[in-house]
Amino acid sequence: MIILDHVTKQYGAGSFALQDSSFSVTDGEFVFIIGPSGAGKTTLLRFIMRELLPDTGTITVDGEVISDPKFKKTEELRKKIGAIFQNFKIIQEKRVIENIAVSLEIMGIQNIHEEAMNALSLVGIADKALFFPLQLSAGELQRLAIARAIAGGRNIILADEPTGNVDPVTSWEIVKLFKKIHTDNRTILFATHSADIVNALKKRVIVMKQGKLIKDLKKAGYNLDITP
Amino acid sequence: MMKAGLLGSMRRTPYQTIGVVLSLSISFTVLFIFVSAILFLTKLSDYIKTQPQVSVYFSKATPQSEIFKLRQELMSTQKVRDVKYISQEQALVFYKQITRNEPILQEMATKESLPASLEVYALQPEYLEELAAYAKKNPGVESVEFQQDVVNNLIKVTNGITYGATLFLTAQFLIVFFLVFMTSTFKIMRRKDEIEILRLLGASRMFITKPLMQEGFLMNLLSVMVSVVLVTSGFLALSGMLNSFLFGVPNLTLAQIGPVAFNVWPINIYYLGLMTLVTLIVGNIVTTLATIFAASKYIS
Repeated sequence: MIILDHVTKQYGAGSFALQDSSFSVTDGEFVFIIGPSGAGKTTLLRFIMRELLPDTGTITVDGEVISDPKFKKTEELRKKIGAIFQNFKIIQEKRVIENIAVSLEIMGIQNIHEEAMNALSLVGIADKALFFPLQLSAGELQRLAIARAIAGGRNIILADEPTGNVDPVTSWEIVKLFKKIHTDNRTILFATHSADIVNALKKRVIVMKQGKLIKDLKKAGYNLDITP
Repeated sequence: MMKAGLLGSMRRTPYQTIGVVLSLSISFTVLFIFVSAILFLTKLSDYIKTQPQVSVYFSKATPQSEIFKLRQELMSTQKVRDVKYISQEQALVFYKQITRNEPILQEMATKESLPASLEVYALQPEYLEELAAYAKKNPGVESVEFQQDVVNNLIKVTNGITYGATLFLTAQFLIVFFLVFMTSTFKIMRRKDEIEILRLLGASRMFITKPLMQEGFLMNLLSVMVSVVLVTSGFLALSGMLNSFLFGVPNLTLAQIGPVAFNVWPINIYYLGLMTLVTLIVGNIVTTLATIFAASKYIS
């Protein structure tokens, strides 16, 4: 379970990355974080990754207060989280399978090859296992990032604009993939500024604007317009 | 996969790897030579100290009681480790041993022609002059010979080399440390994006540092091998000259484990093996420390 309790982060006088935001996400939930650029979506995900610490408020993940500056288990926390970034963050010098393998090695998984191939099969690029990232299309790179995020059973998936760098057709394929990987125990936080994707999947939506959480729509069946 | 990654990383920066390996090789070769020189001189000095340092020769008329009296006096100075009496008979035996290849000299020698003597082993080389002067005062003494110059010079050379080598080796260790530190820093900087990704995936500092340490170990191993080849070739090339220069110096053993003797002179395979192992361990400690230092400074 992820809990944000009155979290605030200020960068300069009057410039809030996040302002007094509170919400919780239960295990296995699929939540869209939606809002225009600069709304604080990425900051929110970076808090959960413990890349950033809030100025005030607390963040709790699986019962541990990770916003505590004395929190010592950042590496353990990150082993639970599969992160997917808009710019993929794939290691260019490693082959496709090696990118997954290194993630599994960090987690201490034993049967690395088998696990990596399973993850690649799930996202549909098992035939590209020995390719280098440079030989992949943007869509394939994002699939690789998703495979890395889910491999080894990481149960919290944080996706920061995963469709931001791909064409509309590939975007929809990626969205379908997220639907596929949303198993019972896997919590997914999907940050996007695309209302179309949100409207199509009909999941819980947290709407942000200028660092503030302005709506938390827990019921499906809405039609959002997030034009700033 | 790890080995391939390690070699791949070294292949990606070939000139840097060659540069580091050559620099480390030079440092290790110098270390090898200096440490061997210090060990050799120390062992040689120990050996010389075991030889009679003051030889006191008596005139033939001196009675044995007078010789024993002087021996007792020398022993009571607390400055000698031992005083051996060599009678005329024993002197003849020694003489015959020394001249065993020269029958004419042997025929000429009789026990009456050789003086009785005392061989004095001083506790400190500094006492030699004083002991020699004391012995000379005895009316029965014909001549006194001692090796103060040899021992003193040897001590001076050994001390000089030890001090010089300590400074030089410290400098060499610092060079090795900073060389590996800079190489690791460069590699960390070059892999900045990769390290950032690994950290986001939950990799520990050690997980990221380990390949750098393994690379350091590999470069260290290559450098030690190159330095061993250089030292061995140099020793073989100069062995003729060294043998004639150090003629008469017996085997100088650094340590003995069962039948295995680690000879610092003439350098044997066991000594080379021991030095290789020591250099490898010391080099590895220095390179590991430098890598950890670079990692702790630059991997946040």
